[in-house]
Amino acid sequence: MLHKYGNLFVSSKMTQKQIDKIVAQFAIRLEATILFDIVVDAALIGGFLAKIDGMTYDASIREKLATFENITR
Amino acid sequence: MNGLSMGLILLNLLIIVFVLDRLLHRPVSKYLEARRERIRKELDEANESREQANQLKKSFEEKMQDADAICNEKLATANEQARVQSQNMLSQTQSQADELLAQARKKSQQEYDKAVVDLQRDVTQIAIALAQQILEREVKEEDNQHIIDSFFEEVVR
Repeated sequence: MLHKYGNLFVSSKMTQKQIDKIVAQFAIRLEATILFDIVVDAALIGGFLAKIDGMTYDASIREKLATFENITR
Repeated sequence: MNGLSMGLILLNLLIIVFVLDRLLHRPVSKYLEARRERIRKELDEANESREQANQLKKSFEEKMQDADAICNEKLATANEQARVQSQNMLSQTQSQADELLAQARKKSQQEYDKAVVDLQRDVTQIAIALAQQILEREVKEEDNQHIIDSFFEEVVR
């Protein structure tokens, strides 16, 4: 199976079980074993942000707030 | 008195008449004739002068009438020019005033729009900051779970 490397930023209240689920879902979707460097980032507020092979997957509350701010600007 | 005396008296009378005619009547008549001639000449000259004066007066009056007409015409022209110029200046001033008013209204509207936009942005930023503070405090494990589930169901397909 293909191996990929990435960075995974998670919010401070993310459990290990949830982190494992994120890693497993990416492995299924990208059809590869993902080796993440995991960092806890409180600035995300909630959710996570993953960077894999130059792609960024932002599912954080910080990003949603930024999107909302851009829409209302 | 006899006939001789009467003859002498008559002769003396004739002599006196002759002398008076020669010495007094003729010079006086001549003088009077000359004076009459001079007076008639002076009257003729006076008439001629009066006629010339009348002609001059008439000419003067005609020239005065012409001058009055020219003056009135120029006055009317000047009045008309002043009226037109005044009208033009009034129109120009009105146009400038309208333009300034339009510019002021446009600027006022632009400032109002900008103030509204600034206010909306400030309110949005305040709301987002408040939401961020609340979310930092309130986000729980199940919220993260929901985010994860939604992301992999809807975003990554």
